[in-house]
Formats: sequence, C-alpha cells, structure tokens
Amino acid sequence: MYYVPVMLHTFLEIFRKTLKEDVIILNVQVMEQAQKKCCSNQELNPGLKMMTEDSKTASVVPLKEEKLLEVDLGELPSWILMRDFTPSGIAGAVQRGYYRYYKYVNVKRGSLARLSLVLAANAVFNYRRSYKELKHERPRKYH
Amino acid sequence: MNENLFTSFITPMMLGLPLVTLIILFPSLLFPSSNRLINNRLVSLQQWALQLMSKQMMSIHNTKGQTWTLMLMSLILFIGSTNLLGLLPHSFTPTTQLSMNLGMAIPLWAGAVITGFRNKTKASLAHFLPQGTPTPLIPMLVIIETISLFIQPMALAVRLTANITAGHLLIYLIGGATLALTSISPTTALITFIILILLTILEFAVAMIQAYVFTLLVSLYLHDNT
Repeated sequence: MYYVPVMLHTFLEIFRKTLKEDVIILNVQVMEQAQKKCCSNQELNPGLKMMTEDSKTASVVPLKEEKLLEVDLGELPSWILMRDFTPSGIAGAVQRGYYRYYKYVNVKRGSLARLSLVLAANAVFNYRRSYKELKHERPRKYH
Repeated sequence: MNENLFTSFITPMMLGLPLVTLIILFPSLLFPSSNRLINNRLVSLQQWALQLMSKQMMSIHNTKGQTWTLMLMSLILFIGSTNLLGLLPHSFTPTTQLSMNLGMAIPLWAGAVITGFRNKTKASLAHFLPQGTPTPLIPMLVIIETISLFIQPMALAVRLTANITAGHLLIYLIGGATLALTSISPTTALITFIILILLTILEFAVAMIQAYVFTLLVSLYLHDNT
C-alpha cells in the first residue's frame, strides 16, 4: 500500500535538480505521508532512506530551507532575515528546540550525566548573566 | 564588599527584558510529562517521589480537602526544585524574593480560610477560642487568636524568604572568608572550608525542608477548614 507514495518519491527524485523548490517541498510532504502510512522508519525501504538523506546534502536546496550548519558564512545575515518571525514561526522554532532539548532529559535510560549537563549549562548561563557584578570580585590588589 | 553582598539577589534583567520569567520557568523543564504506563528513569523516579509525598501529606484530609492535592503537590515540587537549583553557582533563586513568596502564601491561605468560613462557619469561628479557657480571659484570647490567624500568611512567606536568603548569604560570607584566609593562615582556611562544606549540606536539607514545611502548613490550614 505504501508503494504508491514511495514510487512517487522516486519519480520526483529523478527530476529534483530541475524542479528545485517545489521538489524539496514535495519530497518532505511525500516522506511524511509515507511515514504516516507505515508506522515506523524501519518499514520504509532502507535504500529509499539513504536517498532521502542524500537529497538534503547533495541537491541544490534554496537558501530559505537550509539548516544553520550548512549555510555559508557570507550568506548568514540574509539567512537570518529570511527566517519567518511571525508568531507561528517563532512557536514552531520554540517547539523544535524544545524537542531537541528533550533528548537530554526525556530519554529511555537517562543517566545522571545528561541531567548534570543541563544543570551545568544553567550555571554557565547564570554566570554569563551576572558577569558584570562578578567582574569586581577578581583577586586584584587594586580594584 | 558592601554592595556586592546583595547583588546576587536583585531581579535579573537583560537589556531591559525580564529574564526572571525564564528563570522561574526553568525547573518545569526538569519534570517532563509522559502519557505512557511505563516511563523512562527520570519520570519513574519523579512519579515515585510524588506518590510518596501525596500519600504522606494528603491522607489526613477528607474528600473535600483531597481536592487540593494537585495544588499542594505542584507547590512542593516548585519550591523544592527552585531552592535546590539555587544552590548551583551563580544561580538566581526566585524564592529569595519576598514578593514571590507573598504571592504564593496569601492566595493559598486565603483560599483555605474562606473555604472554611463559607462551608463550616460555626466550626471556623470556633477556632478562635481554644477549649477550656477561663471566662475572664476570653476577650483577650479572641483578639490574640485573630492576630495569629492574620499573621499566618505573613509568617509563611517571611519564613521561606528569610531561611533561603540567610543560607545563601552565609555561604557567600564564609566562602569569601575562606578565600581571604588562604593567604594569611592555611589552617584556619581549612577549618573554614570544612564549615563551608557542612553549611552546603545543611542548605540542601533546608531547601527541601522549607518546601515541605510550607506545604505542610498550608495543608494544616486546609484541614482546619474543611
């Protein structure tokens, strides 16, 4: 049953270099549909999965949808300006960051190390916040 | 040293934005919610602790009082986690601010008292006069009991604020003393350092005890009034 979106996906893969933006968006939609129809990732054709991962790095992706680590340094200001700052965009960004953070806390066999990483990050954040007052407490002869 | 002592207690702002909201919301990230029957380690530990606390604290109440379980359990979790997170270096503890503790204490106390007055008026008013007082003493005792009733929210808030603030201040002072003494006489510095370690252990205990005491007293006020 899931062969239909899978075949559609392979069809679009052939034309991805010529169809640029539409193909990328359609790829994502098709992948999501395929994942919805069969419940887990392993049921998808493993060869297909390799192809989808390749499509993100090898194809010409428009600037708006590039991930941060793949943006060139010269394009960074325009990348920042192109992200949508609408309330729904910010809410989406917060949700994505939240679920990425969850990997530190809400894991199946969580350990003390993960939790202490979070607490250490909290301590560093507070240090950076209060650096102005802490500057005066350095051990100097003349403050 | 004069004004630096209290700079760690000012409300944190950054570029005029209230950072304190983020700091208050941070402990909620450490308590993930989960819909599963069998969870990961962190959530299981928290569920076990929550069950222990709720059984110990809410078993004395009747049905009407047990409707407050959610409120009291979230209260004890919030105060405990905020106090414990404040023991990390350079952290800001929201419970050192009297404003926040008053904001927690007054509504809870008022809710308990008003519930008592609305539902069991005679019994609530009867709390003002302990049993078996000699007759001439009655007017004075009623006045004293009224004062003690109205001082309850103040005492709740000020107790929490003063304990946490005093503990943090002592740690700062003794830590500073240890640092200053290392260049003068290392032996005294070692003794001071041991005192610092003992204080830190005490602070961990105090953090959790204060949460417990706060919640216990609110539940007591509730028990009187339901």
